[in-house]
Amino acid sequence: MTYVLRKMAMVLPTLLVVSLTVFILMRLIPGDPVLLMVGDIQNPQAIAEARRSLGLDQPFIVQYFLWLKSVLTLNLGHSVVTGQEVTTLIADRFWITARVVVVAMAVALFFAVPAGLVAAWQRGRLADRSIVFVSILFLSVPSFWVGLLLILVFGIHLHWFPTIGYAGVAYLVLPVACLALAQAGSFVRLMRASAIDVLRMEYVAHAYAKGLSDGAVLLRHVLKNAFAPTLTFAGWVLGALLAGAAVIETVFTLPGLGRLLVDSIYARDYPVVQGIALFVACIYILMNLLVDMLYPLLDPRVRL
Amino acid sequence: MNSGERQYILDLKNLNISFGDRHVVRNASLRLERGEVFALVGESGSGKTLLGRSLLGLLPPAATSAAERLVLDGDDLSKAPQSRWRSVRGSKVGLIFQEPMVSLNPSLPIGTQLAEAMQLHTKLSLPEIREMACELLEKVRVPDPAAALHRFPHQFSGGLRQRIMLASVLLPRPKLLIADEPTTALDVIVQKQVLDVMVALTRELGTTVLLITHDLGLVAKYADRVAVMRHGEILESGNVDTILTAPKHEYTRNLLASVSRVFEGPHSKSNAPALLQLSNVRVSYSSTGSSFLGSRTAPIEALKGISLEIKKGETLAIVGESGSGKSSLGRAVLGLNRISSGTIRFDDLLLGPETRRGTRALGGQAQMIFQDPYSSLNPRMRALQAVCEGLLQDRSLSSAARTERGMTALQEVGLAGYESRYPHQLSGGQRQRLCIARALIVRPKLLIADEPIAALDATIQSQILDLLSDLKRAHEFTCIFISHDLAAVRRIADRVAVLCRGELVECDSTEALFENPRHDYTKQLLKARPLLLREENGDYRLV
Amino acid sequence: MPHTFRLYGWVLLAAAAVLLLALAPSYDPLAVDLSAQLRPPSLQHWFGTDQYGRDLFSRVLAAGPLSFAVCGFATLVALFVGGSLGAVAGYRGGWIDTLISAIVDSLTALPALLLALLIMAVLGLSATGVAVAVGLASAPSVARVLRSSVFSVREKEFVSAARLFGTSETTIFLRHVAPNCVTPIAVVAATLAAQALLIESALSFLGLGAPPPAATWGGLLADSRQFIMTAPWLGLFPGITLSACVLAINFIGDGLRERFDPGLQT
Repeated sequence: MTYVLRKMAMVLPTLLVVSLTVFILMRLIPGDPVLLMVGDIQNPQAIAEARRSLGLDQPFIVQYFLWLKSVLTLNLGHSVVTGQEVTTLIADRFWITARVVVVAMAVALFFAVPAGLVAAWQRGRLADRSIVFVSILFLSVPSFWVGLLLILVFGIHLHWFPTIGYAGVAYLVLPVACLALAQAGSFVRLMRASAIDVLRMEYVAHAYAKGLSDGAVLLRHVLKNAFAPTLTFAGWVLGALLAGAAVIETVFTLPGLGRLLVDSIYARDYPVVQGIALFVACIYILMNLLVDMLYPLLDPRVRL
Repeated sequence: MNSGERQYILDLKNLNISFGDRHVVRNASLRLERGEVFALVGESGSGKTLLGRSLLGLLPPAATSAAERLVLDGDDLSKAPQSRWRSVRGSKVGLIFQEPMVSLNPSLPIGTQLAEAMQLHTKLSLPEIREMACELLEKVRVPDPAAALHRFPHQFSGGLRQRIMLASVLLPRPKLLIADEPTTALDVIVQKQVLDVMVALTRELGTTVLLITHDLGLVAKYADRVAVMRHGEILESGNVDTILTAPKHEYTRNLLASVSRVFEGPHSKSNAPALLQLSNVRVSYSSTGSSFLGSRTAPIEALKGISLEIKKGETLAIVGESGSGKSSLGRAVLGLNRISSGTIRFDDLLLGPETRRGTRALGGQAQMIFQDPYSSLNPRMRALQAVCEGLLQDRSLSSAARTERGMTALQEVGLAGYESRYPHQLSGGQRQRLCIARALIVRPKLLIADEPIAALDATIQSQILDLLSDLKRAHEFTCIFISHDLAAVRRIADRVAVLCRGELVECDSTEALFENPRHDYTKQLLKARPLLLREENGDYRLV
Repeated sequence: MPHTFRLYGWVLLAAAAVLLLALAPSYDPLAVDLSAQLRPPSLQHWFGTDQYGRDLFSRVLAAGPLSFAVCGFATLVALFVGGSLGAVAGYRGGWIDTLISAIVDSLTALPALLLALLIMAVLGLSATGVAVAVGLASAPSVARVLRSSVFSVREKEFVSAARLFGTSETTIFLRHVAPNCVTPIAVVAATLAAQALLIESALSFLGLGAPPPAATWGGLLADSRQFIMTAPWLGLFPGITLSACVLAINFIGDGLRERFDPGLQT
């Protein structure tokens, strides 16, 4: 039980640090948010009134705690541009992003895990070298450029998939492929490194000494133990993907969370930016918690 | 196949193994009789492990091997393909490794791992296999076998794990068991338990054992016949008694000599003044928490109130198994660890729980040689630089003077000409010599040697012990020798203190302790470790 | 052996590139030539021209130094900030370590791109701004690596031996700990540089990078978007160049890693 409690206790301080960082950064952005919101009303009294109603005349710490309080009641404020509630905005856009990200990660893992295993098993030989080369290639190519290429080839020349906007699952195929490609590279690297470590272990040699074939050893003894570090990485990856989605969504013009973030930064729509940053951080923390809970299944040495 | 061959379980003739053009095993030939315990003795690099592995066809992919004859229980395997080897492995030949910590898959319950070999080689059903496994687990004295099958490896201690491995390997009743340094990583008392169980069980099952080891004491106690290996060649082989009493090869003689010497020099006078006095010293550790919540675990008490006196000029050995606190004691004396209560009096200096920077207070009057020659030297410093480091504290010395003293120090330990080498260019023994030179260059009053020879080969161990004795005579320092190796202790120490789980159990002169141990734990410790002693007539006696 | 080839292979490639440069027909990257708009690749214009008739090859080459400068500066910022935090945390331990680790671990909850975006919003659009933003966003991972590296060296016995001579803690750090952390730093630096290039190009692509006329490869890619159907070469060549450079850096990093510590994970 202590393991669970300890992991959960980490959540609160993390959220505090993150929220503080976001809050500080937002307040550092040059420009008076009041003037932006109020527009071109010249009346100084109206401006002062608006300032007071937004609580912007209070000292910094008070503002922070007021904001924190509203966050905890799930009130993230209103968009400066559209006036909608930030929470609604995020909820609407999140599902597209979530679908793309989760499917991309699943696809990446599906190819990367066996590839990493094979590369480690055949270490130094042709299969390994080619897998490593390809994975570094995937890692190095900017995802948005891959997106552009995919649009060019599959969208424009071959007309296989639609490329702009969102009106059905088919619109998600290319974005998923794009994200998955980039992620696969780093997953292969990680899986390969941990598989190499596991293959050095004596229990693997022991398994061979019992007369097990390569396949049996890899599947039964290596896979489970090598996958654990990749799983812990997955939580971090999910957070990174949510951010990376910003670029992909821009390329494919998907109405997702990432594009909302970018548009909001352009438009100086700070409540939305703040809300999204906090939301992403929460997802990351939640994912890590989930992964931590799943970890004992893979490694019995860690007791729940 | 004639009846003469039936008595041999293994007939190996002219085995050659090489990595590229580097020959690691040359023309090795062995004949193992059914049911015997055959020991293969050699130091590191002798090729004994590779020979053992080749009997399972488990050589690393970079190795090429060829044998004129490799007949295992009537099967000629000298040119067998991998598929043939796979059917032989586990069913006819079994292998036990050295590291019990990682020899079992941590994520599978031991029942699954025990059943694996049986499922592969036999057609027995799972309940039948389970029954056989429980029977065998009982024989190796694993408590509550039925429940144990569902547990994971980390829930068992090192000794238990090794015994479970034994059961796992012997379950399919192989004809030949290859035990590659099966107890080296275990504590002395646990070693004895594991080996006793192994020998008894294999005798009962009629399994032949090939015991690969570097430890001649074990050979003398458990083996029927022995072969001595060096640089890939088998130098001589025969009955254990014959080899021990009349070795033909000089290397064998050296090997025997290095493990069996007793203290030969004069014992220092017991009325010398005390240099070091420990009064009720306690040391406890709290685990370093990297999580920012801090650690909630209770602190571990490594030393529970030790009172000890070390006289000037003597060599005191501190003996104990892992977890006894012997290393903590050494580090506390030097100020490397903080004492939680009690005092340490060094000459006219008093160290207590409030002392910060204990090492500064001592000012280099005490030095230490550590166990691991690989982490005790900065990999980026050349030998001369490393040796002279202690001299840098003395501002009055010029660079030239430092260099001169450094060269002298290197010469003293036999490393003249090595001054520009990096640690990775030195062997384990050479590295340890460098550490000794580095420690002694500042002329300390006290030298603490924490398991200085544990990581070295037998013949090198002997050399280092000789070096320490010579240097001690020349420079007249007091020495604390921390070790679990009773043979080395017997050779170099005036007095011996025995520690068990943080408590001082017994302290006496070496002779008295070894001949007449008083405490139960000391008796257990001495009984567990087979010591070879050389008699006056040249014979070797097992103690 | 094969990994040394990787290191030297890229040096050779760089030499080949320099040679090519000398042979290519050169144009002023900013020179507008409205008579030669959107020309496909030819012998006069190796990469073709853009919508203003500017030679793409020259533009790609001109964008190189800025991209690398930003990437290099960002790496330095990350190494300096992250490195000092990590080293202090690893060496001092205790409450300093706890505090720094807490902050660093928490900051990894914000993905690097997101953090960079936020910092960019604060600093405004400029090349330096991008570099600082990317550098700060990458600092937490450097801090982590360096902390564990310093921590492990600190525990080595040659450090205890140095203490026994009475050496001061600062001297121990400079003489023993720091030199032995160089290798992990080199590996991290390579990974960082590659990542910095990618993040910078992503920021430029989103329009949040260095403002025109200073162009980086990411900016060129952003411009190419509207012409993807009519002049695909505008997006192809900058992308290939960018990928090739990131690939080279990644290869170097991988070669370093394999040579010094095959077990090291990102």
